[in-house]
Amino acid sequence: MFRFVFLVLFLFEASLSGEHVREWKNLKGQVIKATLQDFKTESAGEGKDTVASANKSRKDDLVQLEVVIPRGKTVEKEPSHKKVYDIPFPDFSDDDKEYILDWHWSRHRQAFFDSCLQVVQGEQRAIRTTRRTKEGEPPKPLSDRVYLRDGSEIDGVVKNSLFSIHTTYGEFDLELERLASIQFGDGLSTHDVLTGVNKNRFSGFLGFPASPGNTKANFLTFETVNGAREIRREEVLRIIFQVREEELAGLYHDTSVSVRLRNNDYFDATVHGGQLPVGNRTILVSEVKHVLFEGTQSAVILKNGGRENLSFPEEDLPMKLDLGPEIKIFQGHLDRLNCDPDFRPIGTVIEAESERAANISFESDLPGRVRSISSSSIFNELLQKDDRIVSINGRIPEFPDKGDDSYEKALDALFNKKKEPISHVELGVQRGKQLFFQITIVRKDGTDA
Amino acid sequence: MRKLVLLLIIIAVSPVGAEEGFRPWKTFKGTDFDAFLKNIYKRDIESGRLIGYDPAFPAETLKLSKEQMEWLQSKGAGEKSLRAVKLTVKVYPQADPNVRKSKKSEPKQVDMDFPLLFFSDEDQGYVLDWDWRQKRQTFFDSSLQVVLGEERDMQKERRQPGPQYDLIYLREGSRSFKIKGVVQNSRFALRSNYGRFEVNRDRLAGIQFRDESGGLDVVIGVNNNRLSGFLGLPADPNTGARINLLTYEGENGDKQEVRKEKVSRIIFRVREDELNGLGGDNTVYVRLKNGDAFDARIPEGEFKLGGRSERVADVRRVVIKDGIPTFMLKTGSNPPGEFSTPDLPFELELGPQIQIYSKHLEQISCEPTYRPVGRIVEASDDGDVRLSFQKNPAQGKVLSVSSRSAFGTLMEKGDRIVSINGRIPEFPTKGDDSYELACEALFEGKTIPKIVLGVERGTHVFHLTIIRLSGV
Repeated sequence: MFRFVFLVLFLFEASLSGEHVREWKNLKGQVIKATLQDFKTESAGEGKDTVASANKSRKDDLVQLEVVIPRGKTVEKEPSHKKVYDIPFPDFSDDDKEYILDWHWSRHRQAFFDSCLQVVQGEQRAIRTTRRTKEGEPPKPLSDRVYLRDGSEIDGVVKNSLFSIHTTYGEFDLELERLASIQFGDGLSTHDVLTGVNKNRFSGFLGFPASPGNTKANFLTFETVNGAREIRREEVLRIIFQVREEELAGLYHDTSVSVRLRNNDYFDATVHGGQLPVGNRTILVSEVKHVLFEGTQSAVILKNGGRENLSFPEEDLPMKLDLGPEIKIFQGHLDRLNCDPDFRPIGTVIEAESERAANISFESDLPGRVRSISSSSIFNELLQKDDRIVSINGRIPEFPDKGDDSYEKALDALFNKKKEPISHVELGVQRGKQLFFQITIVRKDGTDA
Repeated sequence: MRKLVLLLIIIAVSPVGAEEGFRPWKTFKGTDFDAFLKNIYKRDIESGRLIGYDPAFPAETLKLSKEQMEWLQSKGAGEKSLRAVKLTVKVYPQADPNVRKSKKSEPKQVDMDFPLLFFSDEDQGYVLDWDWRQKRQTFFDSSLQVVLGEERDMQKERRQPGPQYDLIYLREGSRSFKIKGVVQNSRFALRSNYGRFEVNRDRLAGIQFRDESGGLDVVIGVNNNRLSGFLGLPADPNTGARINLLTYEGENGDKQEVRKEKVSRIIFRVREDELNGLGGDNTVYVRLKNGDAFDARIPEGEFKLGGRSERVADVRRVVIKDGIPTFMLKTGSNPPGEFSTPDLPFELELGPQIQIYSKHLEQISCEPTYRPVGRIVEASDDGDVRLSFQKNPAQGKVLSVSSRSAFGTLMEKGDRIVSINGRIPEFPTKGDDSYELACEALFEGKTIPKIVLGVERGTHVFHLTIIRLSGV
């Protein structure tokens, strides 16, 4: 009976998951049209899965299809009705099995794709977005991209597992697996900058500690298709790390807040165990909107509108960074704690009253290149002529000659009055070869979106 | 005559520093010393120009009378040696009573030694002051008296009230204030982009701490070396200094502590022994790409190159571009070469031994006479480096820099010249100022090889060295 139904079912609507109607074949080659709704399995989603291995291990796996059963020959007169069926995975053709595995692989990772940092320093990180290539082959392994000061670029996999950074507020180590990029300073006006997979920024002097049997001190070691290579730290200009599927695991704690420092570094951390001392009591960071540090004073702004004074007994605040290390930071280095998990601004925060106020004019023949900044602009003294907008909201922007561009669309979304506006616009800006910085545009308090 | 021989000791004139003028002297009794001499030698002797002081002069050389020796010993003088003053005096020929004197004869200038105790207290003080300065003149000339545009506290006179203090600038929010004290932290740790090392406090002249928004800490050595990076204050069990805290003894002797983040600048006092062991002939002057510069020794006194070496003593200068050195030898030849190792070892005069990656290097000067500070500005005449300054009270503040100036982009409107050749400059409203005088000396008189400018921009001070286009 089930097979009969399966044979005659046809489907024409897209499913809730956004899937489209497609033709499905069973093992005998019989065709239906249906929308894939779910794949009930305990082991699916693994990138290494193949149809052959799935056939062996997934006898109990069920594929949920929403099918439309036609009632007559004329659709207009006798409209079909929808019905959901669970069909054993082994009953599908190999092509459909691949499709199911692709669909499930992508769906399984959608949340990660949405939250991972895909563009860093204005560059797309190598990321695996499909289970297999268009030709059906397993995708090639991903690489980190290493830019050298002599202008060359090398793709490989960095082997240094640990990077030490000596910042103005302390010295600590960060693991390779938590890094999205490294921009090396020029030793004059710019420092080395580490960008974490969670957009955190740390600047200072970077060290490459030795790892016995693996890497030598001061050398970047990486594996290329031509074998292992070692390059002096001083020769490297930039590293863009590949996106690793597990890189966000364990981040974004309920207790963590966005810590912004006076030197423009910012990171997520759990400060003082997630409970801020105020007077003789402590309050949970979840009750706090933000904390402002001004001179020796620090004001806690509560979500209920209240205002308290922070009363840390120590001059150095203990923090556990989401990216791993536990450090103590002198209060004088702190600028602000943003405790709202939905507001983690990066770079310099600029408030805009309107879309017009945040307008930037670009060179028409040079995509993303800033034409000029008027003295009355909110970007005055921040952006300069010839700066290049290299990322907008974590994606590579498009600046076509005519029509809407990514920046205009982002501002539209920020000041949208018809639907829920986005909370902020993040810009990545490249100045010259060496300097990259970021700006977060937010609506000015009280601005009507 | 015998008495004259007894007291007169004529010695070869020894070179001294700044020559003193003839001045009147008084005896221990407060009477005129010239009269005292005339009484002894029975002729006109005019005192005298101070040319020497010996705290342990052999008593017998003075050939004093027994009475004089007993008197001196009663005043504390030793039996065998005593403190003696050497004066150049004017000795007039003995007058012949039979010859009518038409005019006074020309005197001979003779160097004579006298016991210090023969003179008044005031004159003794004058002699001791003079001697104190004489002994320190070389140190005064070579010590770094102005750092970061500020005069270091220094004992310049023997009887100057002491003690000397370090000047500590603190910041409290937007406020800034300075206090006097003596820094107790004996070591400072620096993490630079070329390494990590420690510098002893007694080799430091100043520290400029970065501000909250970033930048680097800058350490200035007593030899005007510049090192930049992130400065750490390590704990020091010997002095009780705790980590990250600047510990100092205030004017009232109380020990105080302050977080390093609250310190904006330290101007260390000049210590008399701070240059000991520095300035050896075999040192080189290393300039890095990041603007840092220091004096150092090259181990074994030679640059190791692939398959050969160059003796430091044979090299004028090494110019390094992208880690590749060009040797400029004293013979005039410029042999090619490559360093045998990517990291070059240096023994800094300020103490630490470090290794520096060759691509961080810009120039190594092996000539002791060529030690430019900061960026080098070459100019063919004073017109190339002309600056116009704002009128008082903006002393030394640059009004404008011509687009054709040799300073290029190094100098900006609003910069302030805070030191010229290691001294605080003067910028009077009218007449010559220190900068004009220095330019004249460099380009017209050619009496100085370079002008070293300390330039203040905002809270930071940097240096420029102006040299004639043809070089030093």
